Amino acid sequence: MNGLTWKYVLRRVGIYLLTIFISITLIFIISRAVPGDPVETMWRQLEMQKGQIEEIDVIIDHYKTLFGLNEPITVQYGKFLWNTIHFEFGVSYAHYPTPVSTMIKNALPWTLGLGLVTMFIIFLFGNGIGAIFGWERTPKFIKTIIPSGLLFTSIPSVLAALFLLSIFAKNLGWFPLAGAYSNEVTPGWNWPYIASVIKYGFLPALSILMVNIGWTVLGMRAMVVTIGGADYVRLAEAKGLKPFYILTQYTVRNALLPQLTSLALSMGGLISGQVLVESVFSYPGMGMLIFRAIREQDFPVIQATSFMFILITATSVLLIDLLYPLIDPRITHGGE
Amino acid sequence: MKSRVVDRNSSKSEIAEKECRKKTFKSSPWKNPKLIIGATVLCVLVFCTLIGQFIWDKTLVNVGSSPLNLPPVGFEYRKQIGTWAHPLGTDNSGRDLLTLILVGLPHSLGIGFVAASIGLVIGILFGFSAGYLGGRVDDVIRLLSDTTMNIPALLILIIVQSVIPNADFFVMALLLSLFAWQSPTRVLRAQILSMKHSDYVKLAQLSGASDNEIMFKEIMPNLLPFLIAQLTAGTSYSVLVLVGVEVLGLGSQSKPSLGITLNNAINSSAILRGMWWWWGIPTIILIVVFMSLLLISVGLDEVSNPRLRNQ
Amino acid sequence: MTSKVLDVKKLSVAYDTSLKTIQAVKGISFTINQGETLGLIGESGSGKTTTAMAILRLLQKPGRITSGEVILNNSTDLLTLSERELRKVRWTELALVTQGSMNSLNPTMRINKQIADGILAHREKQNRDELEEYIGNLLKMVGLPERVFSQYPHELSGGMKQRVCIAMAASLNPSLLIADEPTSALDVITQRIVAQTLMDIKERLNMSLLVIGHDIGLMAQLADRVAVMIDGVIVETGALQEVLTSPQHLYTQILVDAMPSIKRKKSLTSIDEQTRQKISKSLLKPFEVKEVTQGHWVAITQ
Repeated sequence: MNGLTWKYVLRRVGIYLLTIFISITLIFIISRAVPGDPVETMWRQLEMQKGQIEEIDVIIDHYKTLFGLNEPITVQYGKFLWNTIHFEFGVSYAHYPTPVSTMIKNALPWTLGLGLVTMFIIFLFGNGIGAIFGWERTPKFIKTIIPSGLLFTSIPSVLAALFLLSIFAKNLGWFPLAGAYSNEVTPGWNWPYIASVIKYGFLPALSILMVNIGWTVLGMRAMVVTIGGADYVRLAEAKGLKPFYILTQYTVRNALLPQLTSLALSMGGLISGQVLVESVFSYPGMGMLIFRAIREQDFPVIQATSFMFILITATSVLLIDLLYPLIDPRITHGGE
Repeated sequence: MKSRVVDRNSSKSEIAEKECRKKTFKSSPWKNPKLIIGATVLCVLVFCTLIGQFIWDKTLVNVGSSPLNLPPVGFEYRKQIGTWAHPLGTDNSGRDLLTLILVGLPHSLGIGFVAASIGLVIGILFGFSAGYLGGRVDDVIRLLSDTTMNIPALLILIIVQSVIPNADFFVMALLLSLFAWQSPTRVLRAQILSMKHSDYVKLAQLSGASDNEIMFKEIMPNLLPFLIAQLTAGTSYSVLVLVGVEVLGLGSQSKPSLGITLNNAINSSAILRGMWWWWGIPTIILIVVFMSLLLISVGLDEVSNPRLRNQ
Repeated sequence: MTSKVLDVKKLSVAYDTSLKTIQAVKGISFTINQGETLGLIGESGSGKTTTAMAILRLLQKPGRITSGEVILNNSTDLLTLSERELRKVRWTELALVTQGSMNSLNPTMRINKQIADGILAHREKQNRDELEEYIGNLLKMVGLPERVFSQYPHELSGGMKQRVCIAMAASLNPSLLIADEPTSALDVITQRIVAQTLMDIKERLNMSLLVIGHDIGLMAQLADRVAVMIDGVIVETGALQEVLTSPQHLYTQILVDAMPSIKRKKSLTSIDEQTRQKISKSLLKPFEVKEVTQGHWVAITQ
């Protein structure tokens, strides 16, 4: 870690921890902000909708002691904080007595898988396409496609998901309508299962991709245009280097690092989009978990999944921010 | 020792530059095609919905006010033919889609706009203080925005709305504004920092202008296109989050909106049932709104940053 | 007669703006002989950098060469070469050291790799160790410590970076090195060192040198012959001593007069706007170039 200054790391990690702390506090304040007792309100509402629930008073009391609702607010807060950072989210209302952490454990791999794959593709292809669009040697007719690509970026991914689902799954029948893999395959490291996972994940990934890739493309294009005018690129030309070598080793090499920062900045939007896309495709990740929990008014699940998503966002931003100075020589050695 | 040839202004390349400047000055940068198209489309849309409020029967948003599952004019769905009484069709509980759009769109846009405006005001105050005063103030503001800007607004709103399901216009706008001030703050701070060292601000300082005078008389006017771009982007972001929360099934059910219509459509499997208008029309309207908002902010960026124009 | 390394004939460069075309270089001609250093002097905007970029065919839009010939080594006209052929000539025959600004090295590439890629683009596959040793020697030759080899540009001072650029330009032993304001943006001491390095390398590799600048002091240190450029026109060419001691053109006279001297105290003069306008105006008229003494040419307006 030559030069990745401890001051920077400490500040960055400090901000991360503070973000988590603020989020937990916000969630706590919001959940206690309702007039009356949240547990009781929820259960009474549930009872009104679904009819008589047996031993409702026992259940309510159980939750009250579980959440320590009879204790002073500061103690409650302390316990909430302690439980949350240990991933103790209590028990689901709607799927009593399944622990919320179990539900999250089952959904997490799907969300992470879908998210990481799309993020990787966005970064790889977005920057590749952006570099081609920004390159002075790219034919004009290819560059004229940009404005149409720009318009894509403004569509929320949930709307793109609705269109893709309707066209490719409902009308053309090329892709399945819902789920993460076919009933006919057995989960494990076998080819039919993997193929099925790819096929089921294709449309959800595409909806996140086609919307978010535009920003990466536009950002890269602007970077390549700017760097293309730099002295060192001109000198590289004077050296008689091949144009493509100059593009990759001189232009893109310098443009890629700032692009990492913009990836970190877009993380929140990317993850919010995924929550909605998973809901549309009934993809069994945490987004779907939230969607269902909202319908079932399952507050512990809503609370826990939201927290998990915030945690994922903050963590990925932290990782990118810490990775950046490690691979950019200009920052590593405390330059500028 | 050395001597340097006296530099002059009227050199060849600089003449070329001057000519260019003259030309762009003649054709005002505000006449940006992206900006004009975006603003026109958005204005037409908002104008139409506002007019529609007066000539169209607003009670048609209520459940059961119209026939069920009626397709738009010119289409047929399960032996029902679309009528002019409900030109965009109805949903499965008898709500007229046109009315839903007329009532829902201004409401959603309004919330987004108010949220972005509050965010912008906070952003201006914070950004100016951080950039201009620096020091402690800067540290605190940066820490505050750094810690909160990575919290996705959607998720906090999900929690809030699942506890307070019937938040009204201003509560929603206030909640959204909690996530709309970080971007303007950051951008403004950076702008102020670069302007602080520019010659014209230094000149104003030398001539004895006070800090406030410099802030609002010298710096502010130069930031105008910038601020409007931030306002547009903020509105777009707030509407996006709002629609997202509604699509998930949260938000005030008493006040119809495009997001809630989409949620109903998803929950009732409108896609599988082939009722494309139910989800398709609100989706298209929203796409048009987001596209025009994007065009406006990209156009404004080009207005405030001439270098982007020539790319 | 010595052989000409570079023969520029009636070179013209224009910039197209949306309103009109501006002639930045107006049919200039000059030659550089084998082993010689020519200094091209002019104020900013006189077209001297444009000339250099035109010779290297590195003009950026909207600039373009409208007419002329640039003949290298008595054989190839650089302006007619295809892109492929041009790439072969670059760096092997014609190298460049850009303005002393801090931006001519790739910030994310180690120094050795930046020198190596220029070599590898033109030479057959080379033994890795030999290549490294060769680059190490180059760096030593310009007086840089060994550690520079694997450092990044931002770790070096301005003068060191400029010396890296010189080593890089000399790496393939080109016949002509073009140095465009090699010492601007450096402090006075560093300017000396960089200029000295440039001269040493030139002597050692027996290159020819085209130095572009506005600093007569630097020119006096480096050049054998000078050409004075203004408004896209060369108004006077000749041996350094001759031009400095008996300048013929009015502009050159003012230029030389403005140079401070340690030997005698005098008030510094600078050009006044009126005279400057007069010179510019006279250059718009047709003029002929006359040889005053052997090898000393002056533009004389009719």
